[in-house]
This record gives sequence, structure tokens and C-alpha cells, in this order.
Amino acid sequence: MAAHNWKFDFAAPEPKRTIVDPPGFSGLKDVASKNQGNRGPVVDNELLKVKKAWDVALAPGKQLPMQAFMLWMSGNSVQIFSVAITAMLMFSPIKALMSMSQVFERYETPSPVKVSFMDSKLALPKVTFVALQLLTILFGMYKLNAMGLLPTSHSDWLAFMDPKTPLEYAA
Amino acid sequence: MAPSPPRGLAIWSVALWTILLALIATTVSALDESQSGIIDWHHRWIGAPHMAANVRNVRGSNSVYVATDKNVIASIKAKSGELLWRQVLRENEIVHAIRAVTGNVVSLTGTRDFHVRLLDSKTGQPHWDFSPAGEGSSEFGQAVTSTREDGNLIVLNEGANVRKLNSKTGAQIWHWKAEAGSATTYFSVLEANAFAGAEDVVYVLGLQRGIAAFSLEVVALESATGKLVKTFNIKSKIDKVEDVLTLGGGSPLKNGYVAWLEQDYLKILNLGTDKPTQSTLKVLISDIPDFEQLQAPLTFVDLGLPEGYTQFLLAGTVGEYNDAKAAVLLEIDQSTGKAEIIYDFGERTGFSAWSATIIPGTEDVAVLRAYRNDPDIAILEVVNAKERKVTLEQEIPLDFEKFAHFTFASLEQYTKGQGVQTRIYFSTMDGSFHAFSDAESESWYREESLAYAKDVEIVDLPERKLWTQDVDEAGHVRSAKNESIVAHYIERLTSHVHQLKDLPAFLLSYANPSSLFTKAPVAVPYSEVQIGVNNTIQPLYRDQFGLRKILIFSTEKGKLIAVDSANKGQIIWSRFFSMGHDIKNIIIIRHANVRLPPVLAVIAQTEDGGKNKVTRMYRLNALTGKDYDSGNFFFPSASWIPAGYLNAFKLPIEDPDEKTQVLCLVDDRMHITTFPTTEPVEQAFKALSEDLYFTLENKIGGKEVSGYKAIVSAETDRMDVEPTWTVPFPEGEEIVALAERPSYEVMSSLGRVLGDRGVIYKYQNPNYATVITANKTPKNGMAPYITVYLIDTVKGSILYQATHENVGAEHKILATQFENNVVYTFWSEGETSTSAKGFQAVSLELYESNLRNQRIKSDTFSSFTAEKPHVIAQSFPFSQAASAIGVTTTKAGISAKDILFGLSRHSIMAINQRYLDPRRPTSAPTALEKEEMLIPYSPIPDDARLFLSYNLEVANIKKIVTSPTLLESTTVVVAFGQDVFVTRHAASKTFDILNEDFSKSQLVLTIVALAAVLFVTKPMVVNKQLRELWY
Repeated sequence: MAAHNWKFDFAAPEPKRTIVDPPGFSGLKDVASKNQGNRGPVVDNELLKVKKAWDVALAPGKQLPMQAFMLWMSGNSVQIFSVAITAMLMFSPIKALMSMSQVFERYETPSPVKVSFMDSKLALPKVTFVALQLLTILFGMYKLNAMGLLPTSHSDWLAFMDPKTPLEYAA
Repeated sequence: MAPSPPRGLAIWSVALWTILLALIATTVSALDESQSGIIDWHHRWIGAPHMAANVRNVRGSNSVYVATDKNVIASIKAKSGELLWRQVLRENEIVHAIRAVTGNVVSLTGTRDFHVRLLDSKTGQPHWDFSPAGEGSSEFGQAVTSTREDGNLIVLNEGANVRKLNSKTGAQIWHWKAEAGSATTYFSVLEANAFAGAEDVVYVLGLQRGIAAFSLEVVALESATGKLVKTFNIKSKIDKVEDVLTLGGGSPLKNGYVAWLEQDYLKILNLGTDKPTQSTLKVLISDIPDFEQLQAPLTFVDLGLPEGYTQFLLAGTVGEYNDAKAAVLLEIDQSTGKAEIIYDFGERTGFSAWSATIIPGTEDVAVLRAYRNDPDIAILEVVNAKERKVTLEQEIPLDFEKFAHFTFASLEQYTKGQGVQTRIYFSTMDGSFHAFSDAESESWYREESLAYAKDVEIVDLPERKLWTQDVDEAGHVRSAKNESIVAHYIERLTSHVHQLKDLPAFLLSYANPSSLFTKAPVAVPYSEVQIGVNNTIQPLYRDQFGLRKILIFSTEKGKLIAVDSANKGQIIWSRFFSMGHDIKNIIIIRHANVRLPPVLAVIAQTEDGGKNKVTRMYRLNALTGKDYDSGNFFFPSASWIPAGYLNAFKLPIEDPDEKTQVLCLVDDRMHITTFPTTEPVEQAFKALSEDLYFTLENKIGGKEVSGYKAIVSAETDRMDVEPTWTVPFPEGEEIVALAERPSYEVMSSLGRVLGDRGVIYKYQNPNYATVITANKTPKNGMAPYITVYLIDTVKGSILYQATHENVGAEHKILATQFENNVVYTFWSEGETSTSAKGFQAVSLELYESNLRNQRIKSDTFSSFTAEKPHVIAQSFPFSQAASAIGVTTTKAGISAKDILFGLSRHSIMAINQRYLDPRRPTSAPTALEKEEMLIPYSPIPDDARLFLSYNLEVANIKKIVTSPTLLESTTVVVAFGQDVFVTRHAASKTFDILNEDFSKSQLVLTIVALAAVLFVTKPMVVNKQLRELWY
């Protein structure tokens, strides 16, 4: 192990400033105290964020008519195209729901105190987003049902039924 | 260090790919066009011959012409026994006589009608067919002779009509008819020396019915015109037609004779006179010591000699136990008109068959006596009647266990070089047909007993691996050797090392190089004779897919024949149950097991000495046909019950000792015998008997159906049978068809899926039977009608009943039952005389309810609680006349089912169940019906591709039996009755095996090539990557 020839002590600040600040550097100032005096733009930002969040939340709803048209176009027969569309319809909402927190992250306002979900401004957009995604899933389910891929009828369970045991033996 | 890339790599890979491409090209050209004769085989049988004719007898004929009791006239190659041609006549068209005329064969056949045909000796095709309108045949009133001058035929039929027919064209030259209402039945015609005042006459011999006996009447007709010349009424007392023999004649210059037995006298009449000569039988045979013990009156034996010869046989039963025959050969002395004994054949035990022929180049007669007095050997004895000495005494091996005694023999002698050659054709009691020849290689036999097959039991072969645990390579039973563990281990090791030699072959077979190195299998022509030569390798093993089975046929004559379902139907073993065994049932009571061979139970009814019925049961090893005796006291290989047979069936109990299924035998004393009768079996039976129901003696022609139950009382050991229900059919109705669900059937799907994905649930009662009754002559002038009953066999209730009016009752009515389906066919006459007539196939489907998605919630099914099924029925016009019906069965019941029809046009047709679906829409199909893929209603298709037997003539199919294989798609189909036809059938196509065209070798070689490329390129890539790391 090599011996320590030199060291920085990060705990103790430099005792004396000898180097001149670079040009354009205004020095260390209290940014927070400066912003406190400028409230107007902050409020605008919040509104903008919520508005943006609503846009994101309503986006799946806007896609629905298009998806309905695609479903109608693909038909009810089990084919690679219709299955692909239906699978997409099923998986993309799930994926979106999984990544919901990331989607809305940038519209989040960090808050020092803990705010309950219902009180947060993004609650309504988020709920709307989830509802619309679920609606899309329901759309997919409806499609699956129309294609006959949901085990809802007797015929789907026929293979799992046990035959009746005859009580009498006749020869 | 990484290997450097080989320099010739590119060349190598190019070469490899070239080879690969070449291989692909060759496999494409080796496509198999047809599998006919590879997956199926067809035995053409004719039945046991009882008449024979030889066209030539100087140089020996190429073929022998025979007629059988199966109403077949056939030509069989004399040297090899191959069938050259056959004419399969209608079921009631009895062959009365065959005769060689001008190089061809004349046949007299018929029952209700009468046919004279001249059959071409080479092809069997009729040159002409003469059938007088409105005339039939009687029991013995048919005869034929040919005139010497012009070679024309004199034919007698119905005991009354005599005709002269032109032998070239079949045109009638003249017709003489006995007076209507005449008491005389004529039985023979003969051209012979005329009497004073007449020329060229034909004698017609008849028996005139008297009060106590018949008297002989001889009518002389003018040969050229058929005019009656004279009638001779001979004072005589004859009991039966067998006591009269027609001898001599055959030419206008030769004397014709009639010999008959009248009480104690032998009387002989020279035709043209009316005074017979008379000899006392006792005096005649006084010199013969063998007749001292005569037990019954002497009888004539017809030697089948041609006209012009006057030799005949007198035979009598002798011996202390009525078990021997003695016989003397007589000849009529032309000067005195009396018969003289010329040869004494002596006494022989058992049955004798006789035949005679003319020794070629001479006018002498040779007489054959065929008999046996040894279980393994039969004796053929040929006597020269003139020289009165034995010219041939030949011992031939003839296993009594397989063939028993002679029933018919035909002797043929011909010149070859300097000497006289002998050929002897004979039938034996079991129904098989044999030939003996001086030339060793020309002896053969045909297993014609298969033509009498009435039932078949299909046995699965044991798996090879399992078999070897018990039996070593030499076929020794391991347990019997009592070896130490070390010895066992060494033996196992050596046997495995021995098996290594099969490894290359196994690997090759796995890669299926057949498409590489050999051409596709080609059907080789073969004859039925070859299958009798026992060259099957023992012991037998199952093949990979269980396609190979043993078919054990039981015949009407009492023989069991085990036939390999592969190998063109080689006979594996055969066994004849000697006289009087009426085989009632054959049942496999144990399938091939880990240690134990399959066991077949044979139940036969016989009579004892006092004419009492006896039911016998035998246990056979189904692989060898030998008695299966395990040494256990309770499992004898043969047992008997002193009562007649009523029914025998398997119980769902397995005995713990031998792992056989327990048999239940009901005899006509109404007793039940289980087999075996050990204590645990009795306990199990007592437990089962509460829920055991059965029917007895349900047969065609019955007037009612009854159900029975076993009563087990605690006091006695005896188990009795008690009737529980009876379904009597209305006055005039009798059973014409019966069907039951096969016991081994597996129902894979419990319901039927509709177009909207709903389900109608199948009726799951395993215990119901289909009974079709017919009223052939109803009162009130109604047309015959049939009624279909579906009867629950447990409680005797009628589940469904339907009546079809205006049915052609003389046509065959067939029924089959499987899962929840019943299919039956009948001939419909239509409602009015102008409406369409034809065969109808009716399909019934039974469901639990008529509502969709309705299932009776229960884990069990009891006939006593179940409701009546909902039955859907539909009839379809069917263009074929069927003689047998069957249905395909598969291992799991998943594959579609085909209904198999044996047709009276001698072929087999497979109709998919979809065509017999009662739910087929009769109007334009709706979307739901289209979704369900129902075919719109139409008659049953008549497509050449539906015929399993393609262009083969499978004569007289009486039964079609199917057996599942290990392949779910494939069923083994066995059709029999006269011919035997075995094939494999896949109703849903062979979805579970690779296509024949699929080239496994191509696949394997591609993989190998890729592996090789990988092997070569991998170091190169590693090398390259290493170099890239450096720079």
C-alpha cells in the first residue's frame, strides 16, 4: 500500500480564497430566497403541469375510436392480424398502467410535506388515465369474446368434465 | 492456439450441399403412389369343396375345378393350389353338379330357379347360361349327362324336366316334361344301349312314390327328338334315393344299369329290360370276414366314375364301437348282369373318403381310399381295380388337432413320361382343402376353413421389452431356471450385449433410410396357399404402433384359426375342436401382461353319449393355441358343465391369482358358473351381483327380450338366474337385427358443440341395446313394417321406439350402435307403388336433453333414476345394399368415426359419421349451422374413394370388426364371412404420424450437415475474434 503523500480535507473549507472567480460567475447566492419574491410564474407552472397531465390522461380516450375502427376492420375470425391487434389492445394499456408513475412524474410537484393522493392535483388525471386504459382493456376483452377466445360457454369446459360412472353393469 | 482454417473448406461445403440437394431430389421422385396390398391383405376363399371335375385326365390338367357348399365354383391350380378363378353364386344358389364337357365346365345350380352354365375353363366366364323360366330345382332332381354322338347335354331339373341342350350355344333342342301331378320324381339321366324296337335312347330314372316306399320308374326318350318311347315300371321297394346307383351307359352301345338296395337284396336292372337281377347281400358278403360284425345296413358309396363304368362300392359300419368302416368294390358282370366282388378294402377305423378315376391310357379303374387311424398321419390308398392290388399306399402328415377326418377326396391320375402320376385332392372336416401329389413340391393346402369364420377376437401382442423380463432369448421361462442373482445379472448383461448388434439397424430404421436406399414397399402378389406355410417367427411381438395383432377366428365347423394381421395374414396357429363342438363364444380373458401371455377362453357346446348337452370351456394361450395350464387347481385348461349354453360374458372383476378377467357362464338350467371359482372371486361376484344385469339368448327370430339378474343366496353355493323384466313384442313381430354398444368403447367428448358454442350433452347410458323387429306378414293387408326399439337392458324400459312402414322385409336389415348413436339400414318400398324405393340409412343420436347447455347434475348414472333421452333421428337414401355393418374404434375415441358397410357387391365402404348426422340441415344452412360445419342434407354419397376394398372382390362379407391401435388415428378393420379382408383405416386421416412423403433422412442429414458446418466454422470464428482482439 502506497503511503499518502497528499490529501484533501473535505470537512474543513478552504481557509482562504486566493483564486479569482471565472468571468460570468456571480458567486454563491441564496437562490431560494430570491425566488420567493417571484410567485406569479410558479402558479402558472403548476396550472400548466396539471393541464399537461390532463392531456396525457385523456390520450388513451382519443385513441379509442381509432382502435374501435381497427377492431371492426380486423374482423372476428382468429387470424394473425386480428390476434395481433387484440394483443396490442390488451398489452399496451397494461404497459401504460405499469409505467403510469413515470408518465406523470414530470408533472409532479415535489412537495416537502406529504400530500395524500386525493389531495394532490394529479389525482383526477391519474384516475381518468386508469379508467380509460381499463376501457381499452375492456374493448380488447370484448374483441376476445367476439372472437370466441374467452372460456365463457359450456363448450369451453366440456373437455374437463368427467364422464358419469354407471352404477349398474349390464352384459 | 486456434486451429487454422482448412484450405479445402469451401470445396467441402459445396460438395456436402450438392449431396444434400441430390438426396432431396431423389426422395421426391420416390413418392408412393398407392398403399394397396401393403397395409391391407385379402384372402380369397371358396369353402370346402365337395365336388370336383377334371377337364383332362391323360396328361394331367393344369387346374382342378371344384364346387363348394359355399356355392362357389372355382378353378384351382393343380400344382400350387392358387385360385385361378371363382364364380361366387348367390346365397341360395346351390351347386347340384359340375362336369367337364369339351374342355369346359358345365354347372347345374339354383334353388328357386335353375341355371345351366357352360363356364370357360380358363377364365370362369360363362359361355352361355340356360335358365328355364318358371322352373326351379328340387333337392335331388338335377342331373346332367352328355351324349356320345354329338356331345350335347341332357339336363334334368326339378325332377321333372328333361332337356337336350346344344353344348356349344346352350340352345334347347328338345324338352320333355313329366305329366303334371305325376307321382314320380326323376333323379338321373343316362344314355345307354337301347332295347329292341328303339334306337339311340336316353333313359330317365325316377322314383315313384308308393304307400310305404318308392318304386323305380325308367323312361326311355328318343335321343334325337325327345319323344317318349317307353316307360318301364319296375316292381321295387326303395327307401331313399341314396340307395340307388346309376352305372354304365354313356354311349348308345354300352349297357346301362341301375343298382339299388332293397331290404336284404342288391338288385340290378339292365336298362331297357324290366327284370332286375337279384343277389342276397348276406350271400354276397359271406366271404368277407370284416362284415361279420356289421352294425348297420350296407350302403352305396358313389365313386364319381364317368358313365360307362360299372364299378361301385358297398360299405358298412363295423366294429364293436360302430367306429370302423369296411367296404368292398363290386363290378357288374356284363354277361350275367350280376355284381361281383372284385376287391375287399378291409376294415379301417374312423371315416373314409372315396374316389375313383380311370387310369390313363387304359380302361381300368383306380379307387382311392383316404382314411386315418393315427393322430398325426393319414393314409392314402390307391387300388387298381383290374389288377386287384394296391398301387399306392402313402402316409401323409395330417395333424388331427388341426384337420380331423376326411370328408371328400378326388383322385386324379395322369401320365408323365413313362409312369402314371397321382394327384389326390381332399377336404377335411375342419373345412380345409389339401392336395397330395407324387411330386413333393406339388402338395399344398388351403385353409378354406376361414370361409366359415363366424366370429373373431382380436388379440394385442405383448411388448418386446416386457416379454423379455420373463423369457430369455432362447425362449426359456426365467422363473423356471431358479438362478442366483449373479447368474441373473450376467445373463441380463449378455443379453444386452447381444442386443447391441441390433443397434445399427435400429438407428437406421429410426432415420428411415428406406426412402434413401430402397424403394417404397411394393405389394407382392401372393396366394392363399402361402399363408398356410407356417413361417411366422415365434414368439410374436407388438410393433411400434400396435398395428400388428392376432386375429383369432372361430368357424362354424368348430375350428380356431389365429391369423397375423400383418404379413399377409399368415396363419400363426390353428386348432380344430373335434366332432360336435359348436363354438359359441371366444373371449380374451387376459391381455398380454408383463409376465403372462394372453389367454383365450373358448366356450363350446357339445353332446355326450346320451345326447345330453354339455358346455365345455377351454383356456388357450392365445399366442400358441396350446392349452394354457398354469398348474393351479382352480384354473384347469379344460372344464365342463353338464348343461347347454345360454350366455357367457366377462365380468368387471379380475381374479387375483392369474390376473384373468372373471367369466360368467349361464347354462340352460338357469345356473350361473363363474370362472374361476376361487374364494375371492366368489366374494367379488357376490358384491357385484346386486348391480349385475344381463340378457340371455337374444337372437334373430326371437319374439321378446328379457332381462335377468343373478340370485346369490347365503345358504347354497349355487347361483341361479332370475328374470327381472320382459319386453314382449306385438303379435307378428320378430327380431331381425340386434346391436349393442361395444364394451371397449371410450367416449372422449361428453357433449356436442353447437354453432353458438353451446353444448348438447350426450346420453351416457352404457346399458342400452338396439332391437329391430319386423312384421313380415301383417294382418289387414298392410305392407311389412319394422319397429326400432332402444331398450334399457338394466330395467327393460323402452327408451325410444320408431316404426317404418312399407319395408322390404326380405332385404337384410342391419344395425350398429356406438357412443350415443345408432345407425340402421333397411329397404323402403315407398308409400305407394309409384313412390321411390331404395335402401335407407337411419341415424339416431341420443342426448340428455333437447335443450342446450342442460346437463343432469350427477357424477353417476343409474338407469333407475335417469330420464328418457332426447332422440334426434334422420333417414338418408343409401344407394348400396349392405350385408354387414361396423364402425371404427380408436384408442381414445377422439378421431372421427366411420361407419363401415360390407356391401352385397362384395366390397367395403366407409361413410363418415358426418354424412349420417341427423342434425344435417334440410333447408339452406343458417350461419350457426355453417359454424357447426354441418353438411346440407343429401343422400349418402357414392364415391369410389369411399371404398376401403378398392377394386377387390371381397366375397360375402358377414361381419366387420374393428380394433383400436396405439395410434389414435388408425383402426384395424377385419371383414370376413367368406373372404377375409384386413386393412388399416384412418377416419380422420393419419394426423398423428408423419406423412409417408416426409423425408426423415433429409431432416437428419440437414441437421448433420449443419452440425458439420458448425464444427468447421466455429474454430474459424473463434480465431477471427481472437485476432480482432489483438488489433
